[in-house]
Amino acid sequence: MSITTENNEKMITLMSSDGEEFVVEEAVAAQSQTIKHLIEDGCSTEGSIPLPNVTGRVLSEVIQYCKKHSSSDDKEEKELEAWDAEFVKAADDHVALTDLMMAANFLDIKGLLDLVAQTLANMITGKSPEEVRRMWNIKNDFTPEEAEKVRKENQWAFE
Amino acid sequence: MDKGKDNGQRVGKETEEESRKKERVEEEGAVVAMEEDVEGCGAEREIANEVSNYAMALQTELLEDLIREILVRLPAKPLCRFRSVCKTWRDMFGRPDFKDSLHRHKHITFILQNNYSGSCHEKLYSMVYEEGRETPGIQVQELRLPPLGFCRCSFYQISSHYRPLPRLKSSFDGLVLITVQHPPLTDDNDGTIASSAIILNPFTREMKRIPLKSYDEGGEVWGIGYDHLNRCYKVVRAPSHGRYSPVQVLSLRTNSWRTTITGFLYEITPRNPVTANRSSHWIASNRNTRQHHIIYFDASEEDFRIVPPPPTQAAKNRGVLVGVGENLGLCMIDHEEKEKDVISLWWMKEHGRGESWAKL
Repeated sequence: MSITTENNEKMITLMSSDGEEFVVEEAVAAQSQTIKHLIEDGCSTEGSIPLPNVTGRVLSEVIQYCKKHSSSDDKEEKELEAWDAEFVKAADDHVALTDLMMAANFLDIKGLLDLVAQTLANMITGKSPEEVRRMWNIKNDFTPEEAEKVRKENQWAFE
Repeated sequence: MDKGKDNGQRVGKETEEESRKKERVEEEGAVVAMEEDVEGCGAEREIANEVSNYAMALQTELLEDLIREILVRLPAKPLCRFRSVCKTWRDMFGRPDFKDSLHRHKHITFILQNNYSGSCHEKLYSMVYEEGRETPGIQVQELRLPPLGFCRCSFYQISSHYRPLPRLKSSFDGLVLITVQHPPLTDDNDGTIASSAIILNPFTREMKRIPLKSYDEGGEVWGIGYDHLNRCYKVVRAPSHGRYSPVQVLSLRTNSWRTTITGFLYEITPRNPVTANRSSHWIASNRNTRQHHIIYFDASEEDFRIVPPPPTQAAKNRGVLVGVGENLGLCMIDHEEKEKDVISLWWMKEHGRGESWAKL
């Protein structure tokens, strides 16, 4: 299904995993390499593009990002950086950011992936291994001896 | 309720201090409470639950990739600290693809500052050129070296006058090669100078000692290369400054030296190599023709190859090699103009292809 607006922009519909539909300009959606390839392969003519890995909540954030980045040109780099900073700040916590990163990864949007990965990296920089484990529900699978060994090897990093 | 059970076992198994146990139990409690909450809700929440289960499954599958994307962006210190998180994270650090991704993001230069005043540690700095989407910049970080006086360590600590002076000979893929010359001991003074060499990953502080029988500081150059065929790092020593010593290669896998070339045709300018295209490069002069060439060590073939020079008259003079990001650069002085010297910088866009030289 392709609709054309007054500006002659081709529109496409994206459908999230929970059935929410988003009508966006093709140029915006094509910021995602995954979607771009789907469009090129003609997968969008039969209606909306289903994105089974992305929820509506996350998809709306991704679209926000893509809209901003498709409308800005290089001259506005400073402004765009500030916008990016606000954007990740609004995502609020590491769970939302991880969801966003998974979406960016699946949709293959390099700029967004870089942005979120760097934000998460900055977020964990000052944390302890235990805090990081809790963030992503990671199981500590070291035996006490192994834990001691790896800690000793990297002692300087704890100082 | 697999998860709860799992947590319970974990708490039982580990012999950590009491407070941490308590923390875990509390955590487990939180999980149970959350699940009850979901069960008690209507259809809408059920969908949400399904979605989040789906996300969880995906998360396990994808997490490793994503975690890697995050970790390669960390500075060295937290990066090493997080080797303690779990086995997957610890093992991720040693894998070549992780090193490659680190490499992709960062071009690292190391600077070793010798401390002549006698305090215990030399200082090693890493300079990272960050090409991020923000304004590119240089990030400098101080890395503390592990003690290098491994040989006769206590002696040097007593007498700072005889402390060994480490020299940074080469850096490659975030590894640094350091040689240490130990001055002769008074009670052991047979005129020979003991030397050692180490390969160090300053970020993980992994260190490997390289066997060294003789060492001719100033008379040889050292480089590192990556053997793509055998997937291992190799160290090379080659003669410079009128020396005729053989070329020797050491594979880090076997950690033993092998003489590869005797009567080496080139005499290498005694400077540390410049890394480009994952090879070590030097300026060398042909002993017969006295012509200068850019040569690099091909670790797979264990031989040296010539890089075609930039298409300029000035290339006849001996230039200075520089790294231009990941590419090879050559700085030259053109004496053609009588009035003044013209300095030009060329860089090679595509390694080994002569036509790809461009003037900056």
